[in-house]
Amino acid sequence: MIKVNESQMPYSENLTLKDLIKTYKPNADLYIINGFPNENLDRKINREDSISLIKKGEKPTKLELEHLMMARHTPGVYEKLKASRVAIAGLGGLGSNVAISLARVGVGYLKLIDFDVVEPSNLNRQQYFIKHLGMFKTDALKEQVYEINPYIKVETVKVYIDEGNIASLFSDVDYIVEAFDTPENKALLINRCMKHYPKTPIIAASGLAGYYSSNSIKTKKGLKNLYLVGDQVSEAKEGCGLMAPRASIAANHQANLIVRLIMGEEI
Amino acid sequence: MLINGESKKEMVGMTIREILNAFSLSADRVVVEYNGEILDLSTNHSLITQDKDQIEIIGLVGGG
Repeated sequence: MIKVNESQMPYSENLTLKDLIKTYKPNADLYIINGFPNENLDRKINREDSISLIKKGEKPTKLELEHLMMARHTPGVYEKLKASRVAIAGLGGLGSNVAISLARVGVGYLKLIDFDVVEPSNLNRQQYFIKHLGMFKTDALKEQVYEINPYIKVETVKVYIDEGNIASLFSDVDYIVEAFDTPENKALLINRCMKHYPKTPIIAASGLAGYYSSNSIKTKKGLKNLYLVGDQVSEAKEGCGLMAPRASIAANHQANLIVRLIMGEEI
Repeated sequence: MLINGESKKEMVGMTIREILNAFSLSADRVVVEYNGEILDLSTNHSLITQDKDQIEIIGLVGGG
């Protein structure tokens, strides 16, 4: 069997891409085979190939949309990402950007946790717009995630994370993203999560302020189930503020590490 | 005694709190692993270190 636009179709010998287009979608103008665009109409179709035939600009039905979105993902990767559950603690410069990247790759469940609302001072680095000012960050981010990928399950939790609720907040996820601002909150979350969830990877960040070299931001193994992203020294303070480029570089180190861990890779 | 992989013989006998102070680290901004266990610093800060102890300290800085 082969897969054409996510439906199982019979395989036959000497089948070419041209044949499939003629049979299944004559108006298609983008052909993706096994996650990669292909322009060679004489390309021979192999057993087990996964083919998506797309008409650019055509508004897909809701049912088609998920299949078309899957087309850009490598088979075998998509299913694992979709089955994964990630909690993001703090939805500022780190957390909002982590959420957007994980939504784009199709992580199936996101738990977005923050107590705060969007303020003008957030717009220099956080993934929000003017129209979100005054909204809870959880709601503003959920709205964006659904604009990118409506097939993700998003749960929003409007609480201030503290000693009292850490033990219950993360019991239903596979990965915990530490995306807080203050070092005290970072340390509290990491210490308590390592105690309560010794098997759940915690992906934390420390050292991402200013406009120092992008290349000084690294992903490191911390202790046990802790991973650390950042340069470990650039603290947000007067004269060294947080800025979009390094905040989102660090956030995407965190997001990419999660993808790698989901796929069974290490740092 | 090893701290972050480096021999710190001269610090044997100090408490964890004193060691953090010596490194100018605040107890509420660190993760400390003491002989393979994550230390709860709210209860263990006066623990006295001994020779052969292995200590890992991760200091956290603000920004997110």
